[in-house]
Amino acid sequence: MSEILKNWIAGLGLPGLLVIDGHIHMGEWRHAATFANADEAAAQSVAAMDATGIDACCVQSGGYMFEGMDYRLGNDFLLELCRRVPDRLIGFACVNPNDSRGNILDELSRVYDAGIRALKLINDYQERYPGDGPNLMAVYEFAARRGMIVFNHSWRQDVIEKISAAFPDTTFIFGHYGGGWPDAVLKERANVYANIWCVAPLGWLDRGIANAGAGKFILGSDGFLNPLSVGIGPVAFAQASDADKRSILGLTMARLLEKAGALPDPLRRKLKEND
Amino acid sequence: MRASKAMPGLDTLRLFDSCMTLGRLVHSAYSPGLTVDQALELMDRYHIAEALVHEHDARLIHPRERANRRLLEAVAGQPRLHPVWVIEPPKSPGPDAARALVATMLDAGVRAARLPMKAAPPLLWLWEDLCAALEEHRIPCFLDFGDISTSGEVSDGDVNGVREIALAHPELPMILSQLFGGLGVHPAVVPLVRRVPNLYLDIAGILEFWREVAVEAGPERILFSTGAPFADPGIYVSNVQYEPRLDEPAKRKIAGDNLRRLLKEVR
Repeated sequence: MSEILKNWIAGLGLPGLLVIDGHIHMGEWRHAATFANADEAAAQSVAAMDATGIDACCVQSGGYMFEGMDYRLGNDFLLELCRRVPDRLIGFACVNPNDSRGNILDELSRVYDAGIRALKLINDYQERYPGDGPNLMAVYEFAARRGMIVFNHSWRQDVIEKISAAFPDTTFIFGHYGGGWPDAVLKERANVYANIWCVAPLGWLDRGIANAGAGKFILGSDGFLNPLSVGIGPVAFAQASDADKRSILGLTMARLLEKAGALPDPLRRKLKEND
Repeated sequence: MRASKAMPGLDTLRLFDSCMTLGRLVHSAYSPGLTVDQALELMDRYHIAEALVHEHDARLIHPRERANRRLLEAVAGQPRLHPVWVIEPPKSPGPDAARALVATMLDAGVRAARLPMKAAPPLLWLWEDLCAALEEHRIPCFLDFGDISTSGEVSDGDVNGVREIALAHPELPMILSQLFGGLGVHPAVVPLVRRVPNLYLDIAGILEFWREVAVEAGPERILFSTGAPFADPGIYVSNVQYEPRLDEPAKRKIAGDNLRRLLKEVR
């Protein structure tokens, strides 16, 4: 039996592995509050990571990323969290492409200057702004010039094909992978990756690994809407080698963060040990 | 890294899946479905001790009896698989037809029912005869709001209808099964479960809501389910095992003992 699965089902977490959850949200929501304030968010996120065996999380905005909201307030909260837990919370800032180009670029500069090296977009929930609309193309341009990672809730196939070709040195990660057409894009485009959180059907991850290779998939849970364990479970139980599982659970994301200059020092050391 | 505090081992939880679908599926989004052998293999892989199973066609095709009967043949001699019939109100009003249907079910060894809420919406006048007959025997009823898959969403009217039926039949265990809704289940679902003691929720609504119910209304009100093959069991198995706020006795209840208790109370 896989050593990773054996430890996981024994309740031990993921001993010895570098584990990075590439998709969690923190902040206020429209439908509920997950944390009362930044103190509680910092303390409870660390406790949740410890309980599950996760080294670090890529943290993204909460309710302020949706249409009609001031996304800058969500970024403020992220920056605050990253200041409090710098080694374990890695910020992915958000913008709303329906804002003016000037406001968007100002906000990108602000968060970049504050140390943010990755973006999380969600234009599907921002009046369905097109993924290749002019303001998002400007965002990609900004990210490309600085080597930032661009993660999006989702892109249409034609859009991800277009932008990954237009910015071949930029890392693009799409969220909520559930199989299907993305496999071909993942296989063909070296700079495109998939974050795996999805309530997908039986066998989805095994098929994805067979089609595109384990190196294209990144752990994600959509915490703290969900418990962090729901992202790990499908990986732990996948019919893949432990080497493939290690890539998905953290090594691939760590390498991408390192390339973007966003990997905290303790994780860089752990990456060297595990790589 | 290693978990800061060891969680209970998966086998100690004695998982009892409350929603697994058998039968062949032809759909681009899903695997081809589960035979009995494949279901058992899946259960071994995910350390699931027992499962309630229903037939895919029984949810979608009339006469439902045909697929319900096929299920019995398929699971005969398989003690880990417990058959569930998909049933809806008989055409004839009154208690006789409803009682006959329930008696047939029990005679066949079936101790749980799946009620297709999209085919027969949750209207008290429509369901009262059948629910009264089911209530006489305390048969757990899984409220199914799904379409092709068992996963579905509820409307305001659904929530209100479920409330009326459940309050009218307080001895009937009713389980909101495989509810899912993107950023959250319907906002009235959790308040409803808090207010109606014979209403239960399975863990498919994996956003924080089942945990909220477990902490605030008690773990007795939550049942483990995978929704396989429409969903990856790894999500749900790990969800219960690694839940950080619940202790091991609470997890055991959710993982399987709540369902075992409900089935034991069938008379």
